[in-house]
Amino acid sequence: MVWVFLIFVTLLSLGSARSEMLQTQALGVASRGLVFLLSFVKADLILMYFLELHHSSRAWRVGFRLSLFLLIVILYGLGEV
Amino acid sequence: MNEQVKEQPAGWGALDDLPGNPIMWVLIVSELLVFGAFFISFAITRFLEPEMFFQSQGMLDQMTGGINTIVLVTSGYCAALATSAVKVGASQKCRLFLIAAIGLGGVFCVLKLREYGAKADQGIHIETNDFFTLFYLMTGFHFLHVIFGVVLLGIAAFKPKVDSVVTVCAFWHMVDLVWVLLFPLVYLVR
Repeated sequence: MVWVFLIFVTLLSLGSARSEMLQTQALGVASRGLVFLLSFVKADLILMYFLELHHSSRAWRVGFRLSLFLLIVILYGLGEV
Repeated sequence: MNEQVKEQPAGWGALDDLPGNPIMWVLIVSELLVFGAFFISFAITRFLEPEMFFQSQGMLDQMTGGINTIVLVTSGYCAALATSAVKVGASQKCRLFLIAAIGLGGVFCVLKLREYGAKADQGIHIETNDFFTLFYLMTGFHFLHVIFGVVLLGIAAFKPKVDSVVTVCAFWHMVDLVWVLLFPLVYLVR
């Protein structure tokens, strides 16, 4: 199930980026947000279920998720400034 | 008075919560920090030179990047299945999943080399511009990790043991995780 979802969000990211080629400004921003949201979801799924962090303590789970979120916000934010 | 210091039992504290050998997690976190620095450098350079980045990004093959994402995620899934198999003592099944993960890692390498070859044919190299300098550094560094991961998976597949398989697969998922972040940043987001 996790794998199916990962493949689905990968294809959705690709589709979103392709639609961005239409160069509509509003779509461009929405598309970028979607791509980053999907990459966060994918990365989180890999961390929790492939790397088995869902068995680990709450501190590790929160720590990794927060680091991932901050990294993605920084990357996204720099593009939007 | 010769008081002997009693040896403390070996332990990694909070790192013991994590699956596999804790030293691998030290490596994983340090590698993630290095890639994180690469990502931030890429984002800052994109902010400084948006037009050049936009044009250069248009020269990348998004479809190959997308296929490579699917290949690597599937390889990660095989590694996760190998971990589950070895934990219930199914060594032969574990070996087969590890071989599948290695094979998909090989497919990733072939596709990446073809992509590099196509870029070379177009006259694009590491010094073409800042975008391609970062592109080759980031994807090249990741590519080396894939090769190292394939070697580690091969070692684990030779004689599957719970600790070695879980540890090696953790490294492989880190490689997977980095690509999942690298792909949208370098190939998709404009």
